[in-house]
Amino acid sequence: MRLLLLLLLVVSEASAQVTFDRLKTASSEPGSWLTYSGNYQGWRFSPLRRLTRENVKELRLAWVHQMRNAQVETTPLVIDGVMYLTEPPSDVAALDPETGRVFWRYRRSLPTDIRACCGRVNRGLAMYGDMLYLGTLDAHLLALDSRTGDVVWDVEVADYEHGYAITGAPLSIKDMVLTGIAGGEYGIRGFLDAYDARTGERRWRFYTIPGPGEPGNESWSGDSWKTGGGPTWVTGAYDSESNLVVWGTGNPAPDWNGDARLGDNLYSDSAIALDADTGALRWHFQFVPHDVHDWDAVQVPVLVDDDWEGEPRKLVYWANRNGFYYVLDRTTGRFLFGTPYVKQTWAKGLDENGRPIRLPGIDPTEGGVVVWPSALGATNWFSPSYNPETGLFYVAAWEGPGLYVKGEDQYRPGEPFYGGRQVAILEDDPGHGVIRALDPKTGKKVWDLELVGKPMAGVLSTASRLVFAGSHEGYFYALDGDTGAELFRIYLGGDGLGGIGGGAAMYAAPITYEVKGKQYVSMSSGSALFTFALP
Amino acid sequence: MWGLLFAILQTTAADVAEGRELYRLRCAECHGGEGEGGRGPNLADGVFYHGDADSDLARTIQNGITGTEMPGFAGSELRISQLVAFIRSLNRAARPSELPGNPARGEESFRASDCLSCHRLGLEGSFAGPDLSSVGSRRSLRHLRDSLVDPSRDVRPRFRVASVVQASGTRARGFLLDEDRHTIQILDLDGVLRSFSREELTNVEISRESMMPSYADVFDERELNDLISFLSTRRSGARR
Repeated sequence: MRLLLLLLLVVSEASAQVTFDRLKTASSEPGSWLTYSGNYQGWRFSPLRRLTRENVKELRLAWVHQMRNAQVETTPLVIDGVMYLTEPPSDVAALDPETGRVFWRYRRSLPTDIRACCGRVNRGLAMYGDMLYLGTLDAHLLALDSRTGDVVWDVEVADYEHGYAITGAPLSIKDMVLTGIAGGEYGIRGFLDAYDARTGERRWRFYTIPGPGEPGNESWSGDSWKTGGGPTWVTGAYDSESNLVVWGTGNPAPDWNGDARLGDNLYSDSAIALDADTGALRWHFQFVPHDVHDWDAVQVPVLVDDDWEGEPRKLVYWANRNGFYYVLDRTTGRFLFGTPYVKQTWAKGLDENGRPIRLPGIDPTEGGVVVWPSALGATNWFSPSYNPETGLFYVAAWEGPGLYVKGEDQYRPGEPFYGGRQVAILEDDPGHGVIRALDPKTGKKVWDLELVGKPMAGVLSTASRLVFAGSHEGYFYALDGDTGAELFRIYLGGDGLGGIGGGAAMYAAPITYEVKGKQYVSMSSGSALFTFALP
Repeated sequence: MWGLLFAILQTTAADVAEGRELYRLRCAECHGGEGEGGRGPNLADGVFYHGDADSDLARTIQNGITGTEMPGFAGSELRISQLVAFIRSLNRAARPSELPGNPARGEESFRASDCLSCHRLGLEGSFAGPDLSSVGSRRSLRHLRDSLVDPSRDVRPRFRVASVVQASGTRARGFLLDEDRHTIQILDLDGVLRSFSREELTNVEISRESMMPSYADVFDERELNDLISFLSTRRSGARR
């Protein structure tokens, strides 16, 4: 080799670096939105106070980001002056949070035979160092260079042809990235995975359905554990003090016919708590043993340290799809308290261990049985918000019955495995939606914003006692966190686009952030992200 | 459609050449002479947003893409099949027997020459140059050679360099990602994504010269062939 020319270009590595410390102390940089839920505790709460109950009515549209497809469920991240978001089905854009102008895009070429029971969606990204992490509908996990969108690594998490998919946002913890998996309607065997953030090597996998010889496997009759579902399709929470991952698991498969899977079907419909370093199970709490109503427990776990019966205690707050609100002890998983937070007709109550006392005649039949809540639940994947200032827990919820019909099903790899069908909105008794504030200590309703349609959007709250929420009809609201009074409303439209909500416009959850002293609020509707700020 | 698919299956080298000519006339303005992209997306990287089967490509060419600048092409099935065949040839990687040099020696030069201070190669490298991790899947041997000896001959828009001066006198320099009447977006040389309002800028200069120096006088012919061969063996594919 001849003499080498010195490169003219000297590049440095001074760009954004997301460290584990920053993620642990997210509330100390309130202008950013660092993880799916805004903090590890799953609060979807912002310490920002520039927008107040007095001035929020002055909010104006700052910019709109248009996407190619509707059913946008993404939560953007805003980090060091850049917004990163996913677009359906499995794409990414980086843009300027002040103007919406795009820096780069990543577009994934997906196979044409993707299995996605309930929409070709994606809920967001995780970031660590200068890399972004994306799960895709073909069940791959990717690391992208946050500066360019270049793919740094791409690993297959599971085989999409067998019904596995990733729709949830990954969660970065220490030097790992965690991802759940979807596919409870295809008879997958669910798991939660952790990967080396730098190389993509898998560190651990926790199967949500124990294999032969493992405790819990006996809760599945025959070979039903092999196709038992138990997906993990919504991002969980993390307690850094205890190094504990708390994550929700989904329905057992098939959904509406449990005859071939007798037993409790552990750990479906459960909160699972894992050691973050090893993936070992520390505790579990099953909300619905032997579920035959499709009541996934995939809600974002809300981790709060507070007094309980006069003693400081580590708690988990959980408004479940099954219609009950729960308080769990975070150290042991012990049930502390539970009560219905919407009308429900399937359980007489919960026993001292939190196990539901079922009423007769609630299981799906061939002719169909009507039960409250519907199969889409009292709530679902959309995020709740916990606000330490108001002390309240906010949740978008549904009051209404559903029809459950039992059917036959034979498992065939990669094909829908329902064991029946359901109708979530009955013509004669459609029910209605609410944005509801609960006292998290008692589960009692504090206020309601009553809606005609059933919301599928998450809720955000701020230190200035504001609540932001969206409705099925296409309205975006700012509410008084103490009273529920409407302070700001704008119609963003986007209706009539199909999806399991029967045309719901809003599937995402709002976020708020600050750039150069200005506070912004972002919410998706239809196929676009709308960002608002004061003039 | 079946006739069309059959036509694609039957394409010959002559059809690829016909397709190239048609491509030059109808597609190159937006998609670049070698499918490298420009106003339209890259067609040489094996990533097709609207489906990657031959039938998908044919349908996209025939119908265009609603809501974009991509028009439909009202050609015969044969003409469309020739276009598909040519587009496929853009991302056909070179076979081992076609490599002009020794990939292992090429990798040694690659690492010794500090290419990784700008380019990415899998888990290694940096952000300032094009990602070379799977460059062999989307670049011909000829294109790789041209890029080394005459980098400024074909600088993709994404790698043009903007230098801006703010009213305060502060300067910034970086790759031009996008611009419009009111704003300009760059990836600066520190790896920071920045957006400027034109109102706050007193000067904007955009260079079409590549930031990469020519390696024509650095490597001899054998070294060039080795390096090109190494790069050509960098192919895409997920880990399982």
